[in-house]
Amino acid sequence: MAKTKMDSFVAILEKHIAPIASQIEKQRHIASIKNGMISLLAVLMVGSISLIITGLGNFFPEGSLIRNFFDAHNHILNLPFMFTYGLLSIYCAISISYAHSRQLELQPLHSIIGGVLATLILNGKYTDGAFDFSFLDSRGLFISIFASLIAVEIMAFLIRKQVTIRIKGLPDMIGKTFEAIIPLLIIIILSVIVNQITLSLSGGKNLSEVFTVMFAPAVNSIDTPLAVFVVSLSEMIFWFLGLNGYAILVGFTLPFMTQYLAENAAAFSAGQVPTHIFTENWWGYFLACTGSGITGAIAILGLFSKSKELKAAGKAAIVPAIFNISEPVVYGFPVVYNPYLFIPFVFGTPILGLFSYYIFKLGIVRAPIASIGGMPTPVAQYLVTLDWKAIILSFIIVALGVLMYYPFFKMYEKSVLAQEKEENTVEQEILKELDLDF
Amino acid sequence: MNFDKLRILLVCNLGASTGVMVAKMREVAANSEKLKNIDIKIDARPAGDIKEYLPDYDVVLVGPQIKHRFAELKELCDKYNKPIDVIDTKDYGMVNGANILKTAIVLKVKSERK
Repeated sequence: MAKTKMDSFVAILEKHIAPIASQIEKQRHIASIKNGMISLLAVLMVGSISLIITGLGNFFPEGSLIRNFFDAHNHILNLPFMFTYGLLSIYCAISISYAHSRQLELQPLHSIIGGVLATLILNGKYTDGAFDFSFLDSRGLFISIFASLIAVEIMAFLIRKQVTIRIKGLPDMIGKTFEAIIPLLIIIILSVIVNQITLSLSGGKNLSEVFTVMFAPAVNSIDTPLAVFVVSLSEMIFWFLGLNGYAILVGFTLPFMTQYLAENAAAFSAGQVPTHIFTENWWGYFLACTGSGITGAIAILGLFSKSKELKAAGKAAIVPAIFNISEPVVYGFPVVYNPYLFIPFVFGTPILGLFSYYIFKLGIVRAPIASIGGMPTPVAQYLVTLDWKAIILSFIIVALGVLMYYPFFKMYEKSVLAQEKEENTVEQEILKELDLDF
Repeated sequence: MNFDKLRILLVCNLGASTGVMVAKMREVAANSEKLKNIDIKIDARPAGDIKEYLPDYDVVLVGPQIKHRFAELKELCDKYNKPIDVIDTKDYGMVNGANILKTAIVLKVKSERK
């Protein structure tokens, strides 16, 4: 009885939620932001190498030979950081314009030039005729995203309306270059106009500064317990329906999370305490420690299960879980559409998320400062925070996950065992009848 | 099997979990006597830029975690005349490389009979 009720509940969820998921991912701008920001992770990872190396140098005692070497060459070790995080808006403009030009089926090269031009101009300030580059770090990130999307849209519009220079008989490559001249010029003129108006209306602040002041509450609103809970709950509902909730939501959250990480990294680099928690790697390695839904805990329970089927699923899932990949658990046990695991998976995960959020909020573990990829738990958790307590935290999260899933898992196991027993007898009878020779 | 080449593309969000599947499928393919004479190539890629590499493959398999994008991906694959299917969730969860490989081969054979 309870089962049929659950089934109809799941059917309702699927009917209403699945179309939302496909609508979100089909939306061109969100898709471009997502694809662009994900490509940007490569830049963050390269920049993080500086932080990690410097962090490792700090292991050695003050005055020791190795520490002295690190301190003396600090400015060189810092180069990867400066030229990545320090110019993040440029890389962001490149990757968003590229992603969006692919969406709109435009020539990537001129679209990138357009997006970068708009970003440079709108983040610009000119003192005595010299360009002030300082806003091209994470402070210019949001303007860089909007400027690139709009620039590429303008480009697409003008090319579609044929507001371009076309000279007959030119080779295609050169023709394309001429085609870009008028759109690029219009992008420059519009950007300069917007920039000048902003500077004069705000008393010398550029668009990024104005944006930061005006939208600071909105920008910081993602880094709150409520947002963590809502994002995590939505993610888990999508995952329960078998859809990658991270992929669906990350288009909205990545701009914020990237900004947070960049601010944390800059604070750490300057010897201050990083304050933001809800960064992309916090989501990946703490909120979703061993996989979205703390699925490593289910894999562990599977390994010790009496059921053959669940044990096999646990074996298949445990190594991916160490690498924070949840799919083998989600589809193998399965968690998808599984009424027994619905409550801990969908509601337990955000609660555990809040637990680890507060561990960071209270300053017990250092907030994430570096971006890395492809590292197993708990190496990943250590490297993103450079705090050994993060290793302990990751074990605690998994242990709490095991406790959380245990009663629900046992109920599920019981039903699987009952079914296995039934199937076994039928199978055994058939095998006996067949009397096979192998 | 009347083909000597089979290029299989697995797509998911970032190519991470399909990467796990690919490793397993390659292992199965390498150990199979029947597939010895077929040049099999299996790759995992993110769905985001499928357009770029779609022409290089014969069949496309979609990870179940992005099945909400199946309609959109199928439309594209139809344009390029590439057969596409969603991987069975149970096979995906159990990292059943053999079954996923079978799905790909069946997809290819079916598309050639058309």
